[in-house]
Amino acid sequence: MDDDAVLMREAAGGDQNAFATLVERYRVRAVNFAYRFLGDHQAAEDVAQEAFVRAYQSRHRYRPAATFATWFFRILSNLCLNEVRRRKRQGLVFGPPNAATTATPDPSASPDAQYEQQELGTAVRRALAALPEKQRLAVILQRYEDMDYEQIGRIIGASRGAVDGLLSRAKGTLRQELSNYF
Amino acid sequence: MRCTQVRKLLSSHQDGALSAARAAAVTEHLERCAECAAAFAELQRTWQALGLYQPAATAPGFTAAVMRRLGEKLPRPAWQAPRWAVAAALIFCLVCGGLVGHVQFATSPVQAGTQIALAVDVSQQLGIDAFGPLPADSLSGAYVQFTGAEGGR
Repeated sequence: MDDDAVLMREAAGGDQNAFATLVERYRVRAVNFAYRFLGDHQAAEDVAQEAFVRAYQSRHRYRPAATFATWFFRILSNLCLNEVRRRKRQGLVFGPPNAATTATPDPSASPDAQYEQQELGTAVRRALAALPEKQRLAVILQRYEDMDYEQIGRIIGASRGAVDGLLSRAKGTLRQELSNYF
Repeated sequence: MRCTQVRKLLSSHQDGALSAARAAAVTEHLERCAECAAAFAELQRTWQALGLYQPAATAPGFTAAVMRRLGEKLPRPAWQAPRWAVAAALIFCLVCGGLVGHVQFATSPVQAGTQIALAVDVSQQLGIDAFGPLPADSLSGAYVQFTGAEGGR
């Protein structure tokens, strides 16, 4: 049993400190994941908090056969999808891509190079936001969470082959969208 | 391996998701095909560019906010009644059903006879031969004859 599973077992036994350790361990990944999917920082914080609360409320249903990360990211992904659908139903849209949330340009680079890097960062965000939801989830889980196809499949409820297809199509689209910057 | 096959495998190859034999075949192809190698290099640049998307820092007090919320109950959907209300409604229905059944069926033999006479009268008025003997050549008549179930009539 890995360390996260031990903490979850302690949390299921009523130890809130054990769960606080898990929150502390996963909070940055959770917020970043939700932010990359939703493109809105406040919404990402809210959804990530909700995911931890739901995970705690479902702690008795957690089985160590799945890693905590896979189990938790499944909850988080579902909440992200719900949030997008809720906003669509209400006719709300997330704000436009914000250049301030791309990586800080290399200060040693020339001003032109710094500008180009910022432009590329904004284009990356736009291209990612334009992907269909499942493709976007798969890309974020693979690229930023470094998860393999099996884990991604368990999180988004798809077969290994389907994940392969989602990633292949997403990469093709991203390549096309960003080709002007290379 | 042909270029078309290799192009389809570039994404999985990049993710290290191919079997060792297939990965070796793709690598070998990329070494001798400049076009496929260029496509793979572009894919690598695209994947690398995604690293420029760095979210802002998490707000302080995140963990404390989560821990404060752990004691809260999930809001109950409007359609979902509390368990005690469901149990109370079920008991109420059972008691009412029992009372109605008791009043309906705990009647005297005279009342029961009156009800049968009324039913026969209504069926005759409507021209329905519900209480007459079953035709012998019908399926139901044959069944009754076979089982001897009509003895009481």
